[in-house]
Amino acid sequence: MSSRIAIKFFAEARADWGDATRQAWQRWILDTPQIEIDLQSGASKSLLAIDVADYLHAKLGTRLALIFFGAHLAIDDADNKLGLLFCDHGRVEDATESIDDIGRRIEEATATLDQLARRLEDDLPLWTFDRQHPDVTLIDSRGPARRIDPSQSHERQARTAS
Amino acid sequence: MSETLTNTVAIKAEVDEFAAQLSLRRQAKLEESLFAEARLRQGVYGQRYDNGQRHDGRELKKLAYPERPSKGPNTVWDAPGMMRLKIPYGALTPTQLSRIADLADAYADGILHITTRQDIQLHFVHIDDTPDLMRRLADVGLTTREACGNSVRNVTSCPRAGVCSDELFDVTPYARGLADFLLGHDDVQDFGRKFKIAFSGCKQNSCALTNIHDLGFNAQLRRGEDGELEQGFEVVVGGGLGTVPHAAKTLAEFVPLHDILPLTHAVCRVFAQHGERKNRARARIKFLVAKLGIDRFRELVAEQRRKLRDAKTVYPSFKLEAGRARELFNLARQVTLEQPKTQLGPPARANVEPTNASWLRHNVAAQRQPGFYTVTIAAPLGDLTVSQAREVARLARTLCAVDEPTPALRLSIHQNIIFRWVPSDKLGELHRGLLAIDLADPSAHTIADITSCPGTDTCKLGIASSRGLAAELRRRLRETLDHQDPRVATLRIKVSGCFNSCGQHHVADIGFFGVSRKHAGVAVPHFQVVLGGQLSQNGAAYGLAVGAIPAKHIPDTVTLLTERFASEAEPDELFRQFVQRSGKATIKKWLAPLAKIPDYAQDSACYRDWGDIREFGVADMGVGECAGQVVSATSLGLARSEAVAFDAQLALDAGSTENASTLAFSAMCEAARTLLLALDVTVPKQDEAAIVDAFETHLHRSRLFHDPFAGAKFAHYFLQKKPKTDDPETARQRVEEAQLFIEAAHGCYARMG
Repeated sequence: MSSRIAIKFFAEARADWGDATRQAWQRWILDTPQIEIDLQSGASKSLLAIDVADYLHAKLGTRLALIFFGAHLAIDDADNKLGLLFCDHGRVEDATESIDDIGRRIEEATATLDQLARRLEDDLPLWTFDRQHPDVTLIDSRGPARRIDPSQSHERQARTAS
Repeated sequence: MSETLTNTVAIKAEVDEFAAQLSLRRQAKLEESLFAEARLRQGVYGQRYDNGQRHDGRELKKLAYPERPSKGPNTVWDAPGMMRLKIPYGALTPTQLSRIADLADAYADGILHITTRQDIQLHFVHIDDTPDLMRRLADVGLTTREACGNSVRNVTSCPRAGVCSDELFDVTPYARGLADFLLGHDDVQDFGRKFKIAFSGCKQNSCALTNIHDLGFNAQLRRGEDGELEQGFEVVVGGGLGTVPHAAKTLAEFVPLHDILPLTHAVCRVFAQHGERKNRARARIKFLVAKLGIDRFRELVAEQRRKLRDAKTVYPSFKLEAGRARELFNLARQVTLEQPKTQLGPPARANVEPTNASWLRHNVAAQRQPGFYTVTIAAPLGDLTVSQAREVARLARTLCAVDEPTPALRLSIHQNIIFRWVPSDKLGELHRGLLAIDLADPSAHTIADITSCPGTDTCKLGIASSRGLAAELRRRLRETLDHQDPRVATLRIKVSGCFNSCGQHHVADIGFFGVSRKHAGVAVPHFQVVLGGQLSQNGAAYGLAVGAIPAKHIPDTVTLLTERFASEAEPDELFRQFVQRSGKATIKKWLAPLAKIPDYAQDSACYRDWGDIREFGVADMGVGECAGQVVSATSLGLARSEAVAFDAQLALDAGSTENASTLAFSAMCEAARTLLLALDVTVPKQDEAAIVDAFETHLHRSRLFHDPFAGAKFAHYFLQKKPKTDDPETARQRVEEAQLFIEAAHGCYARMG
């Protein structure tokens, strides 16, 4: 059984965010497909952007996705709440993962989303993301994604999730 | 018998085997070609990306954007890919749909995509996740096995089978029985190409399109010797769209129900033994049927049937035995395995707001069981988000009058979802539920309900953005649908990203397929406009291309054609009749202003595809060329060849078939000579034999003419020097081949730089 983490920052945006955001992400791929992310531990990781998937015609979920090798970033409006969602597809077997490891993965995903959100805000002032109340979900092979209470500490979140 | 689709133990054992192959590939202990066939048979498909670079297994390498496709066609073997989930005859229970939504959430990008063959595709799935995904799918009785590769693909059927008033009987048990029988069968593992099967409950509608399938079953009735009506099927074989469409031929006028499996088994063995293997472009069964002739093909099938009988081959019975079916049929025509959990009294009034009359008109249809309805969701471009899919499953579970395992939902080949067994008094609640998830768009089965293949978004073969175009057309046509002339409103549009017809453009009223053209040395995305197709009668007639139009001018093209149709068609005239009466020469004149490519300085947007910020084929770009007004001799020569091909089409329409085939060959000669001139090889214009020889030497053997993906396919159309023909079907294929040869010539010219 494996699990992955998804973090979402909710957002306010102008109604015409669609084409502008798609074009911004297409430019990311053209200009700097290899995106370096600084982690809190002082280490860094690299994400390789490979495609933009356009679902602007769909509703209540993924509307646009920037696909990385092993992750994706999406403008997502599930539950009618617009936001920027980062989903780490890094495959971690539950059996080999400690509670601390899950906590670290949440921290790492949050830091990644924060930096990707900042870059998007810099490119397109039409976006402003709320970093104070993120939506954290654990997706595993037991069924639908399970939401984790963001007011809890990462350690407690991990305990809840596991 | 082979294991059934619901045999999860067997499926999981196969998944374990695939996981082992994946592990070996990762350790470089399994050759890529072997692994590729293994993964394709398990529904694991490669995708293209627009990153302009690829990983060659050792390091990341920058790719110059290739001259024709707008996205990088090459990807590393374990890059995130597409996963095709086989949904036999499109039938889904709410539990199965919920599970697929969970899988899209866990392993993909949160989108479920419905295909034109009633499958569901998930995109951007990491290959290491595929065994887990397959196991979780097997838990709900579904599989990805043989969803891709040279195998029997998903068996499709009418989504209203069992509840439709037009059908002769419910074909569901037979579609299911055949799908179960063929899945993993030893005799269908060694085909040269894929094999597609469809079932239709009638001959007249367009729900199953049996005529465009390798093997099609049309429900039939006959009076038996005992005077009683007997159910069976008319069986057609060798249909198919692809680059050059073939109409299916009748293999048998009437096949009793108990003969379906033995007959199909024999057909599969004939295909495996006699089908082409080396030349992939001619390996579908349609080419075998065309080569042998239908009579010889029948003899081979009969021979195989004798061998199978001699070997005392045993076939499973269908759930609905033939005798029982006959008995039930005599009692009442409304035979189906599905029964509602509650019987209704007189139909209740549908509690839907009057303002939603158009939803009732377009999306809701009465079942033949009084008081029940089917409701179609017009899924935009066939896409659903995870939240929408979960809610659709919940609505089906709570509102449809059937319990699992009866599937309350079916997918259609028009990329939509259909609720079945909706009681009339639940229509209002269903409408409100769908409104809440933005799936109550009242455009099902209308001109705004557009079919599209993935095109350049994710397909390695795509030339132009079919989904980008379809999204734009849908947006514009939705705005005008409520005020549209009713005859225009019911037209159907289908879009393919290339000549391979996955969007089924040949059978649409208005079809498009992606091509490229050069203007002043710069590549411009275009779509060929295909008119004259016929969806009804299971896809009875194929349209032909009337000319290429820049991608950005296609919405205006649709407006022009539909306005002309609305204002000039005679009462009760169908669109294809209107096209025929107007004449393609006239239509070409109407389209001429839209076919003109503006100069770059005048309209640079025309040089970009829909939904793409990059210039189409940026490798061709140069400042001097962009501003240039000069039309090259090659462009002029290719334009001349297109004119000759168009004359061939006109000759075909006029019934002058032999002249049409002669002109088709002349068109190819003109295009070939034009390319030869571009290479400084001069050949006399009248000497067709010399042109063919020079083409073979300079363009075929050098592989210069070969398409990056289709290889020598189009060159062979020219080199085969086929004799003149007076058979209309063969002449139509020649004209189609000439048009594709000219498209390939455009591609070759673009590659020459």
